[in-house]
Amino acid sequence: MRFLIFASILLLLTSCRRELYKHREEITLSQSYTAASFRPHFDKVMYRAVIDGKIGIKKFHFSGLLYIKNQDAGGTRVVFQHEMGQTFFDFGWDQNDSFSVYSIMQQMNQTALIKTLKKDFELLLLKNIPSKPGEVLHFFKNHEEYYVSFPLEKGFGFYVTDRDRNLLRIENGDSKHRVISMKLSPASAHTLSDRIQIDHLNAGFTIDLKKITTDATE
Amino acid sequence: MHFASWAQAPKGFTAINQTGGLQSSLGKAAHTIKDISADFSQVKEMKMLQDKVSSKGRFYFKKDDKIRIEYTQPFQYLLVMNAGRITVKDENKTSKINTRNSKTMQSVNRIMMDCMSGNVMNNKDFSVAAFENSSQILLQLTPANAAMKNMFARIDVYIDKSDYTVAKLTMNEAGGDFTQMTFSNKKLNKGITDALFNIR
Repeated sequence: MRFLIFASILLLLTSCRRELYKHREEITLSQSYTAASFRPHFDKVMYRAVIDGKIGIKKFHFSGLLYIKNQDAGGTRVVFQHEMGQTFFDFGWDQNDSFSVYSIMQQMNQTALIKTLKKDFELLLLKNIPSKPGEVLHFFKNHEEYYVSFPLEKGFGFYVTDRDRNLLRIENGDSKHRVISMKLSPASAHTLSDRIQIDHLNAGFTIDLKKITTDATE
Repeated sequence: MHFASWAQAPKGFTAINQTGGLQSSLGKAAHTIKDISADFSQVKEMKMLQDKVSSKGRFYFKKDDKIRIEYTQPFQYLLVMNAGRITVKDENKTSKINTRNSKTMQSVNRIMMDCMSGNVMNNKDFSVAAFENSSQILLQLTPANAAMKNMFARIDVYIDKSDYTVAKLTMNEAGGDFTQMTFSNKKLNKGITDALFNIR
């Protein structure tokens, strides 16, 4: 009986979860969008990366350099390394978005972590995202923001832009539940933002990326 | 110590078969060096990507167990080793590293400290092969256990014969990538303050 009451309350609470995009208004655009429409174009970029999180009651904090390079053959490599040079991980996608782990340090070699990081970079770089947009949404509350969503293996990837189609945020989840939120500093279309703040709302860790614009040799 | 006398000499160097004299010279030099300050430049070569990441900064060593590595370009990062403890300061915060949990930092800490204190040939985690040319001594440190092999394929330590201080440090990874730290403008025994090794 007690279990039944508990289950009923839980069900009630779940069903009452606020609709995240309740003011959305479907809009028809004059041109169709695919994931490739939003894909950033760049040769290579480097970010200062700071990771903060909590496992149980234990907090963790570490930093490094994140290097992303688009290769001539059409693939992309993402290398995260310590400031002193040691490689934490080296991931790659070929021209068909097929993912490979080229190297990863022993402590990070965990399936769940690799899956999470892969998803982050695929959202950011628009890899492995179906070519047809799921739906195009418009928020009544904020007339400056437009949402384009693409169906993913689980939930949707939401790309939030301003009127000029500059990417402001990337979100992952469904209509009621947000799993990942990436806040981007304003960047013009097809470029990677100077500042990217990734918040894993369920996993409880954040990745803060700041673009490094100069190399010490330049 | 494991001494690998069989190793092939790199180009421009000849093997040192009897290392007793070398160890003695390193020990004597370390005895006279109280502190070192230097500039450094670091280059990480990524073989597969045919690209490199460069940075630079300031380096400080003070006897017996204090090191400060301060990256100034193109990012700010400070790493201080003091009495076996490592503290790092990035753009966001200062944090203490538990070296027991961080084998990479622990091993880099040990190698750095050994290089500066003249004990680099006594590190049990590596077998050492020694070479020389007219101006430098090259110590090739090959990991002797699985934990080290997971981090490094080999570490090359180049030592200036003029003062027996480290001129260059190359950390080679298994996949062919490597990181090279080159030291310049070295100043010895100028009296470095302890405050440099205490960060909050």
